[in-house]
Amino acid sequence: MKRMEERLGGVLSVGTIVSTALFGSGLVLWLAGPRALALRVLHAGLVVLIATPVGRVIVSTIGFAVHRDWQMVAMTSLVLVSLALSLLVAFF
Amino acid sequence: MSPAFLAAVMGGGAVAGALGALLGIGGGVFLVPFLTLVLGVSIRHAIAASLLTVIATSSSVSAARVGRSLINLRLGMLLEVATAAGGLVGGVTAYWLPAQTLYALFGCVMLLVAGVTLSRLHVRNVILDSSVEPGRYGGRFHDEESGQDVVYRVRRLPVALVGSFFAGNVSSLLGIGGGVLKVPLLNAWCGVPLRAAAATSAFMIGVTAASGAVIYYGSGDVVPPLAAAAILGVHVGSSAGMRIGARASARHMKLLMTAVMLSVAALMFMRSSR
Repeated sequence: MKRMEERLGGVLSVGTIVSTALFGSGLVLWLAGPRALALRVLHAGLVVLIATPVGRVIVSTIGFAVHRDWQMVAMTSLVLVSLALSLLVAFF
Repeated sequence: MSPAFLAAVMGGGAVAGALGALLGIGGGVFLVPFLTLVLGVSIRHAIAASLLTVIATSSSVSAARVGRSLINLRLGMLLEVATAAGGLVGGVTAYWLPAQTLYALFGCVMLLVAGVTLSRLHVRNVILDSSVEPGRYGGRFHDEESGQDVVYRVRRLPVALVGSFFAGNVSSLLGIGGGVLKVPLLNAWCGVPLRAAAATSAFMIGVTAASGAVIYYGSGDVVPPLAAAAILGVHVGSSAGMRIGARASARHMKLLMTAVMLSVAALMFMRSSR
């Protein structure tokens, strides 16, 4: 359980650092001039930001499966189904 | 979007992030009114930017807290099922319920929860005997305020699930994390100590907000420079908020939270009468 918690922390840290770096450089580009490039960088940051909690749920599902905690595997899978449904509603 | 405007957004984000981290409710409660009322951003753009800062706060705050056992992983992930479903349903119901009704309804809910929190100001949910079994969804952590290891059990799990569903609903509709509902609920009715409730709520909020943010992103309401400035501000604020949060007493946090809920309620009623 402790190891899994550390892994989740790792996913969250990486997502935070990468998205923050993208937002920072995107904003600098936006103010400096090349706005098309700036928008592309900012959108990449947004995708990383939104994907971070989703990645965290996926890693927890795997973690609970390794611990053979099927009740929690079912719960986290339901969360993933719910997130997939929002994606469907949003883009189709 | 001028540098001055983006700087103002960043400043607002910093204040919202500090309060959000301190209370475990995300900064949206402050950011949405700031962006709309002070900076004149449209409400949908403000809600979208706010939901994104909620994700950012949740990820960074939880990453820093991992390993201290404050976050109740099992309880959080169980309740996430309800918040994510609530977020989805909230997005759909937003289409057919008149906005005025929603604002008024949530104003009422907020007042109710504020009342409950105030009435439980002196109650502590921790069991100081650390040999007590916490049960399947309970937890155990080191409390910095009393300097002891504390244990708690979770009561009324169905209430927590229904409340989390509602919290997810509010989150999607108004661009807030939904912790405004979850933290007092878990604390007052389900026996989770305030600090663990706040940490668990902050952990869950990222997933809740992601389900809403995706819908706003798809409908083109995300303005990237606005969102980026708000998020960078929130990061600065939330790291400051966490440093204060570890030392602030539970009683003061409850009082601060009640004040927050009353102002949010007032805002809701103002909106509903328009």
